[in-house]
Amino acid sequence: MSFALEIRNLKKAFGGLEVTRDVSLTLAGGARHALIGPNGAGKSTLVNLITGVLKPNAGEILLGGREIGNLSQAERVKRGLARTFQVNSLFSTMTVAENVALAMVAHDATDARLVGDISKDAKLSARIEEHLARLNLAEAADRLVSSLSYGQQRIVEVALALALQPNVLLLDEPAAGLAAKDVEILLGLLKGLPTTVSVLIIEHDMDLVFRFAETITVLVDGQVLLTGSPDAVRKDQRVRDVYLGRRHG
Amino acid sequence: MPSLSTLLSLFIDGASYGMILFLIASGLTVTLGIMRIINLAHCGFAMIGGYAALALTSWMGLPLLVALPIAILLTMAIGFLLEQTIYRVVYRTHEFGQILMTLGLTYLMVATINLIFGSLMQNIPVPEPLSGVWLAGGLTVSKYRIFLVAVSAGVALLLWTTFEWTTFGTRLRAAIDNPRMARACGIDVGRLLSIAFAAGCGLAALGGVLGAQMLPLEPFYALKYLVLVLMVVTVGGLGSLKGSLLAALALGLIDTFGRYFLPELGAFVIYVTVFAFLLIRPRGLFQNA
Amino acid sequence: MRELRDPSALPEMRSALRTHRLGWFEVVMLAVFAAVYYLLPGYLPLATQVAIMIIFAISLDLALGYGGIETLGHAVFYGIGGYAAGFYALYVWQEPISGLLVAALVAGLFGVLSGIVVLRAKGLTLVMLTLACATMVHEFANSMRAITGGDDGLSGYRIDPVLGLFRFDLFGRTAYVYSVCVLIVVFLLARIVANSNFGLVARGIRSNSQRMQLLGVPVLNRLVLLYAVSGALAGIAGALSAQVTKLVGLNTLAFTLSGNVLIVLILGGIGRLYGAVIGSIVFVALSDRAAAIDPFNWLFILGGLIVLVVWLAPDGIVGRFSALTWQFRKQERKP
Repeated sequence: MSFALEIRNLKKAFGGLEVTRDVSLTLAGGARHALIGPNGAGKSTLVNLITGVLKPNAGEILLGGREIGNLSQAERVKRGLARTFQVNSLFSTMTVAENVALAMVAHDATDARLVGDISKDAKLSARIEEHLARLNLAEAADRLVSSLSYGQQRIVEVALALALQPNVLLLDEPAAGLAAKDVEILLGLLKGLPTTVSVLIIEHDMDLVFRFAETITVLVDGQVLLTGSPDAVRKDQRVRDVYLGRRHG
Repeated sequence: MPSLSTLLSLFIDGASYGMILFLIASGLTVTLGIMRIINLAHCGFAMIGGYAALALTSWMGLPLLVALPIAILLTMAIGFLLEQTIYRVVYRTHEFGQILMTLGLTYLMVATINLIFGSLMQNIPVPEPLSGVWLAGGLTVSKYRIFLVAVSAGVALLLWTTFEWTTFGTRLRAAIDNPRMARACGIDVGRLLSIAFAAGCGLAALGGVLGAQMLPLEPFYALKYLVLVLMVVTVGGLGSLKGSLLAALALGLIDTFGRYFLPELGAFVIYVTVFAFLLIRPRGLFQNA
Repeated sequence: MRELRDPSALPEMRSALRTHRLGWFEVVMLAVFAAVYYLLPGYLPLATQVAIMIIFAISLDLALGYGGIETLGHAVFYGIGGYAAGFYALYVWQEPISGLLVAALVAGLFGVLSGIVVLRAKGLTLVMLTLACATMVHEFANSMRAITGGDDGLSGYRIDPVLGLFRFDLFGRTAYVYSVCVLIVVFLLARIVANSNFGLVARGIRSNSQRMQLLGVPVLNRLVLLYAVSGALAGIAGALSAQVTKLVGLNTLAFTLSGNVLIVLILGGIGRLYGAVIGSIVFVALSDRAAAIDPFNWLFILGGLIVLVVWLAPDGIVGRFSALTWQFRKQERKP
């Protein structure tokens, strides 16, 4: 059986600087996987490699067992790999419902349909309502994204990615800049995600990571230091060294 | 194949035409570079300068060379006044609001000129010592055209020195390159812009007066030559004086030669060229802004 | 009710998706157009101009208001549609409706071709490219004097009675009714497009084209399609003008027309279709009145009006109004 996402021996160098050296990673179906590591460990580069912003120098990226390393970002989205962005990149002049509808229309590939009133598409409306209800956004459906609080905007960001019905969801620092109570809300929502989605979360908030993830990969200097359960990671001396700033030999 | 002398006089015609376009466009490219607003009224300042000189010479009987600086100062004053008032609003609105407001302003200029001077096409008579032609070895060159090329080359040089060698120029370049950064460095971008705006109006006025032979004065002047001036700026690259100079010269030459060799196509040649060029280099010759 | 929650507590999907609804505005407009026919027969030619301008402005609203395509050269479609209809009547067939369709097709095709090259650019470059494109076609028409008539314009063609029944009369009655009918069809067509999935995607592109691309939508492709649809509708406006005035002048391709239609749209307000209607009425009526009072100085009024409107109501007349009604509706929902 193939993994939802499998990364084999991925390498990326910028000039002489090796930022990703031989990273391998697997996400099973329904995985709750977190990627952590100190600043400069190469987390962002890895995200960019997986999503297609950057092209790897070597290695393979398989989505559901199929190589996607040469596809564009948009094509990877079509294959079921969705992501959220660190910096809000929403349709800020549009309503929450419109944002979600855009993702759904893009996913259904019905975006070139010139006829048929979108608000009379009962199926779509029901899907949007259900989707928003699941993320506690139903009340805000008709509000402009730009008028929402930062925390709510982050949740819309997740809603947009989820509306693409991905097999694999990449959360790029979803809690960055969130207040503690918003982190709780976010965690609640993430815990409620359907098991059909495998989640890879990149996050600095260790509390969130340890409460959410079932597997954690620690990335240091562009290499996997270890992959294991939260307990195993918590107890590992090397991880402590890295986070306490001692040089890892 | 036309004779060498024809080619040469075509070249001088084209170059002087290009230099006039440059004078008019130079102020626009600087303000565009800083503020990123499309000032559609800019050509109107060339028109105001031209008409001011016309009024001074034909109504008050002043010689052109005396009327010229007065006309330039007058246009700068008007430009400064507008910049302090209406343009403050223009800067604040959205991109299309800016286009429309400056278009509305252009209409007001057209209407005002029309009210004062009537709708007929007018010429500013060339002063005696500059009229006529020089004959040199079978070559006939209009004295005025040579004068034009010389004066505008001088102005271009002056501009270049100001831009490259003075603190004002350095600040201006910084503001064009990155207005926010310039502001953070303590440069008063607003004041800089006001000065550049007024100076640009003066340059446009100079172009309007001197170029009246080629671009005859009429109320719709401000709209008629606007497209051409905008193209000079875009082809040159926003905020780049060097680019505008090259673009203006190229446009003047291509247009003049195009009309001579392909008269049935008229101005079509120049627009096809510009269109094709912008497709290949969408940000113009020099992309320093 | 499908669910037990209070239906008034949650926003309706229709308003959350902000689609265009038919309502009292359309009814009032129809009544006004009918009233003009019966009460102001002397103004029919002017009212016909209004109808044509509305069609043209609606086409621009699709491109600019929905897709965010910033153009200073929309007259190119109007002019091409006009010349296409003129040539069609001159050389092929004098039947008017097929003439409109041919014009729409030609203008739409030009939209595809020019869109593919122009729409890759953004911002200022896009503005300049659309301007250069329109000026290019303008100069081309000017230089092809033998075919287009140059400055004198294209004329000397006949137009058959509409549907073989209604002959174009001297008072402009047929022209008026014909134009209003075409307007209604175009309005409904534009409304269908605006309310469709594609219309939503167009708004999405305007809002954040990069994210749209990342959602897997081929943005350039969609913009070209939108540009073509918009161009086809503008072509219909130009063709209509050619048919009712029996003249296609170079001014149908001119920069001033591109500027004027922008003014119309900003006057009315962009991105809501109504704006085109209100803006056209105000613009055409005003320029006619101003020109009647003082034929040489009407640009004063026009220029002053533009400056004032952008200054005081940057979202247009309808924008001001609908902002108020929107607030009102929200208050109604959550008292």
